[in-house]
Amino acid sequence: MVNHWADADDILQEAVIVMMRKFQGFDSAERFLKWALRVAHLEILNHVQKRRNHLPLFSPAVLEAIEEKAAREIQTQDSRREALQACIRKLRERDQELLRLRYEVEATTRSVAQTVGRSTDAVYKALNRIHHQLLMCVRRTLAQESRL
Amino acid sequence: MIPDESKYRELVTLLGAVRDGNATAEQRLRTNDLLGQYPELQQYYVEFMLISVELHGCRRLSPQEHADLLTEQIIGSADKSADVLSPADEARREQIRAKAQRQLEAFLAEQEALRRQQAALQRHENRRSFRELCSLAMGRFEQVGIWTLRMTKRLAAVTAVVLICLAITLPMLNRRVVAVLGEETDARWLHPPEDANLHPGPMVLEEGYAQITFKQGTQIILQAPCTFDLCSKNRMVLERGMVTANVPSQAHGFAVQTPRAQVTDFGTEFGLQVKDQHESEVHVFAGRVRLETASRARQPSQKRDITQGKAAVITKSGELNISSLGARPNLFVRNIPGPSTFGIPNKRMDVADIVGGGSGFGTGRRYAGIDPVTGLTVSTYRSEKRTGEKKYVEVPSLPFVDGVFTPLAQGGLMPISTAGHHFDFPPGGGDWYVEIAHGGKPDPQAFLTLDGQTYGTTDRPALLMHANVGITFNLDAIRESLTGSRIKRFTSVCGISNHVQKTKTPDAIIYVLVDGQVRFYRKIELPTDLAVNIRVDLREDERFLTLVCMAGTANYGDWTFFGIPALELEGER
Repeated sequence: MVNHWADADDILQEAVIVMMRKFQGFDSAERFLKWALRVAHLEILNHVQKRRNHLPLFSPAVLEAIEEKAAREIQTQDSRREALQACIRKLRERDQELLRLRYEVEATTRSVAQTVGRSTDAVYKALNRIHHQLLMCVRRTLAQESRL
Repeated sequence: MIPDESKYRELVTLLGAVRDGNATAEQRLRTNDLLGQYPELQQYYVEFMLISVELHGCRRLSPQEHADLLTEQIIGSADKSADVLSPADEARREQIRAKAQRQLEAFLAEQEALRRQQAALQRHENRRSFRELCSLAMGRFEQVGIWTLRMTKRLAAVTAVVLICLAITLPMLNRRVVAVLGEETDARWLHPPEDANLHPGPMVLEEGYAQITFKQGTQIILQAPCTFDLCSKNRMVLERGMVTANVPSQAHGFAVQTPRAQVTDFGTEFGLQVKDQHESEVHVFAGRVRLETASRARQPSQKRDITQGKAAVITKSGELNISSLGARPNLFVRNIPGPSTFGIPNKRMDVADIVGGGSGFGTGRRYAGIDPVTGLTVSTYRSEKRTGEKKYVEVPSLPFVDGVFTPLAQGGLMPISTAGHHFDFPPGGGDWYVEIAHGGKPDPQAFLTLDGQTYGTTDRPALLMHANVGITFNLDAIRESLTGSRIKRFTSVCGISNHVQKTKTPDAIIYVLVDGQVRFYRKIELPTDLAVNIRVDLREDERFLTLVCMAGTANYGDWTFFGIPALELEGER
């Protein structure tokens, strides 16, 4: 088993470093991203195969479907980022503050709850609602942009 | 298939748990199921995670910062496993670290060389004519601008990809061996381990028992149904189920995290149960543990040391109550039961074991019993003629037993539960002879037998109910102890033990009542009637199971008993 983790370590590091070294050679970010996601996908399958005694987050079929969708969506990540920033600005101040607190370094939902004096459950639900709002707002913004 | 609104709501809740890094095994499985069923939800998942990645990494990084971040992540991931490595592993880790460092340095050196080359070219071009220089500078400026733009875009993309990859792969790459799987009894796993080496990650024991030894020395016995997560060589998360931990001195500080508390050990033996509503119970058999409750709204965290012989309960509302172990002394198994034990967690509960003061899974004492007139427990039953009384008495020392009684000679209405259920018994023998007991050996040479089969053994237990006695079990109390299991039915074989000389006609009545209603009745009058099978289905809303062995008017020596008496269980997924 020691060899397994050692191999896994090698694979992860090689994959990340190869990504870093090779991305100069790609003439477009899109091609690089497709390739990088493929590498990551193979790594994930490889490790799921090796560690069947534990529960992976996704089955291979679901992972493949997600990888395909992620490859498509990441290509519009710049537009998505801009849309997200605009959508964050549209949030209520209180929600913006909650996001800021949550995504501070080493913050947790529990620490945010303590800071704002609300229950962890309430903050958890509020963050879920904000994420959903942002997602729908980004969708709408990107759809409007594509129609222009 | 198009997901409805409720599926989106459910997914958002699940993704919140994934985002916060505290998704349970069930939540992970459910997330996978939902995404497998609905492609629209896969799209939602990707968009949700991309937003999370952006929110996490909204600060723009310079190329050097990107390199630093990756170095930290790569080398950091190797460092995290350093605490459990053998010297050979340590050397290997150092090799990996050095290799990663060399590769990154090479990459950064290439970048630096490229930058110097461009700077040299720039200096060379500076010596050209002013007009030439202006023209070249404009071109170079455009080139550098495009290069910088492309570089920034790629680096941002790389960051996104790497963060996503790391977020997905790192949990799977958590490949340390933190514990070793040992003995198992009737164990059935949701995902059976491929070998004895266990790594960090969630596991689900669906049935039976399993023993695990952590790398630092703590030995635990898991009792199904049990959902847990091995975190490190000296730490675990128990989401649901029961564990008994034996912690040697070198493993002081062994910690078990539950949804509402953390138990930290100081060299001891303790049992921990997490129920479905996140209520937890800790029993300390030896030494001392520290119990720290999670803080909740309007309720700060509490920290208490629980010492030997004490039990602590953390309620659903987060309150901490401490009592003596006396109330439920045998709730936890202290040794892994042998393969022939009748009670199997999440499969069937041994009703005779309950009468012996056990949990229903082999922790009770053989031949221990209950006096049907006083409700007091005895360590060994005895056979002697005694007179019954018209009363129903509770059995405070056995939480799963509601009460006991003796039907009267003249018959008539008798209370048979603390909830006010009554039953109208026919006239009978009246007297009683033997305590209601876990197993029975009428004399040193004789076992309880039915149709040639011996009962009262580990694999074929018996609930001895020599007529004329009755006992009522509190099904709700039993359900409360069964995390994740449902009681399906009561099954047994019953009759009068064959060891009794067949010189007289047998005369006994056997009842099984549920909430005061007859669900099984058999009058045993002929020697050929001796063995009877019982199967009584039980609904979730039924609260009291009453077993009665009533003596008839004839004097026979009615060694009536229930052989292999079981509450059959069914796991709740």
